[in-house]
Amino acid sequence: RQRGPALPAAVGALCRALPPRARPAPDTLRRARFDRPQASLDFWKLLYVLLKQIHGGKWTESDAIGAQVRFVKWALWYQGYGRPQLQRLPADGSAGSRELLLAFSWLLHCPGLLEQLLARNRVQTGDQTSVCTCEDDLPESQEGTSEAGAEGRVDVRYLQWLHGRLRLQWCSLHAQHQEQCKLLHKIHLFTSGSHMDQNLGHFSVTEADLIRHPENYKQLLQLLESETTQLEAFLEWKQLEAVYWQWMETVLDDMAEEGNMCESQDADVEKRRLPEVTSCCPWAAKLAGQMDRLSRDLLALQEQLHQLVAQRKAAWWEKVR
Amino acid sequence: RPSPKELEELELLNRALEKALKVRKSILENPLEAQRARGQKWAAGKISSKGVTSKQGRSHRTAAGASAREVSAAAEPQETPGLSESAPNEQQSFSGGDSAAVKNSTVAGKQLLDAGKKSCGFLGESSKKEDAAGARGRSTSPGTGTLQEKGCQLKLPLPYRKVYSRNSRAWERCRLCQTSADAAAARTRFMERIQTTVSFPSRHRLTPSPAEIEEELRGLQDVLFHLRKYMEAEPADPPTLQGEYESLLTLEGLQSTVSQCLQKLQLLQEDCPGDVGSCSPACVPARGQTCDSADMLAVPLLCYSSLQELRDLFALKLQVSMLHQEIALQKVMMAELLPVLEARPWQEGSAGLFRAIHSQLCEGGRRFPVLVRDELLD
Repeated sequence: RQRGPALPAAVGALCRALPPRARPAPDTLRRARFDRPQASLDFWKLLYVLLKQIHGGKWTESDAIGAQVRFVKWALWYQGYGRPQLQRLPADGSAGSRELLLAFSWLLHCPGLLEQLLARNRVQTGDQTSVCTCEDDLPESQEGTSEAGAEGRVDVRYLQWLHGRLRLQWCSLHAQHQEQCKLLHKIHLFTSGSHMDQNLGHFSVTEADLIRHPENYKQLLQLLESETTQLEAFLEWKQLEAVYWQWMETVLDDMAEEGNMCESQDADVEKRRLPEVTSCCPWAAKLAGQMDRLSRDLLALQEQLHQLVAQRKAAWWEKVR
Repeated sequence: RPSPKELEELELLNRALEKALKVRKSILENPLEAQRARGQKWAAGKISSKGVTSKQGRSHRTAAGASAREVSAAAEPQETPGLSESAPNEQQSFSGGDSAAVKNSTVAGKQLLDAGKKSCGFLGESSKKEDAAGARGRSTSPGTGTLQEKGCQLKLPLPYRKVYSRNSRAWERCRLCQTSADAAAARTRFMERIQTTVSFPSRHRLTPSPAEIEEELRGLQDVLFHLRKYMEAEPADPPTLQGEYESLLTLEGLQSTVSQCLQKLQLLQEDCPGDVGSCSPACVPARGQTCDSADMLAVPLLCYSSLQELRDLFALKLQVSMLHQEIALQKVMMAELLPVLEARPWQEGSAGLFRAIHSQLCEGGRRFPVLVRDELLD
């Protein structure tokens, strides 16, 4: 159970393998192990940024600590982290670094987490497009439009006009996309065979511009370099991972000794289904609504099939008689 | 009657158009810009004309004046120093000659004239450059020649190549990297301990996390979608007896699947967590997660084999996005407009309103039904 020389290396590698803006100092983790309050704010921030990245949400440097704390608590709960002590941590982020360290390690257990973060933040040098057909997150604005008239009424013709304008935008977007395709294709076609990466074969728009104006792309090169450093840290981390988990077990040992153990075995009985609680959270309400709708649709389909099958069966027996 | 906002937007549109017109004019008036514009036009002409050689370029010299607009000249101006050098010379030769005519001519006329003169000067120069090219080697110099000619011989600058190669090798190593057995074992031990000793109540019975619940729900919704399609795909009247039997079996299969789904949904509803804890107003569903594939570090290459494919890809993506938006709009419109139909008693002038609502809800705002008053003759 001794620390050994590998631990600082492991912690350091882990920190360097995290994305640039979610990169803690190794000291933060060490302080958190001893539940030092100074490390709490940094840890909240770390978890906030990581979870925002996982959830695809937006965040800014200036997001208040209260909002960070709320979001982290929710996101961890959403992922299935059931430890109530976390939920009870103060909302000003002043304490709980050890709890947060625990939660952080729990997040890490998910094997693909670091890889997922690496892939998401990958430096783009090529021409990209996604083939994901998932619904875009359309803003669910409950606020009425600002165009409401004096009595809060809107002329339906205004609606028609807006709709027409929207269609016009779509058309011009389409035209621009097509133009972009044409130009992309030209660059790809004319530079094919020139790229040193055989898999790609041709240049991207960025690379073609890089040839003409290399001085504009110093930052790109820097980004690529630091990404390479990050990847090498990841590889180092993979070598030393076991040391980290053993260290985390000592944290659990400490907590067990301090009596921070399983609080209530019967807590889960309470935590079971409380369908009337849906009003307190928009997420839960939305989920409940979706489930209800699905249930109705399934029942309707079941009814339809039932009738259809009955019909067909009757017809079948007629024929076969 | 247009609202003030609409008027404002029309105003903005007008101004934007005017600005665009001004910009065009100023480009044509500014000789250097005009040369660039011409150069681009020439480049464009070149790309479509397929492999014009320097010999052809020379022969175009005489025709350049007349056809400067269409442009099949082989010159390549932009980045080369020759451009800035020849321009002042050109101007001087102009002012020597029929400057009055030049000044008085229309913008278009000036361009033609410039183009004519220009092509003479440039063709010679660039063809000279082309001849000397072999000796000099053109690995890194841009601009002498179009992308089409030189594209396959271009090389990325060395610093970039180095950094890029190191980067791709690192990615490859990461992709191939496996978790060591010790690490996996240590991790599992930690997870077990944290779950059993340090109060993770809900995990005792392996209830799914909210994220997993959402995932399951999405899966069920997908299944419903496919079941419906299969049901509709079954022929209404199969021709053969065998076909009818098979169809019947399929439908019964669908029935049992629906029952299973209903059961799963019920379990899921039970698993739905009652205690939502501290709910954040910024609840963001983890949509992105479901899209990630197993091999996250592989190079995501999307290959296309023709321009048409690329265009289709973009067009279809846009179409999907548009359809999503239309669906969302439809939902909102139904919520807003249907109550209007139900609520009021039918007034005399409502026909127009009904028509508008019908058009929005049922025709996507694209078509307007014709309302005909049916005059019954008593």
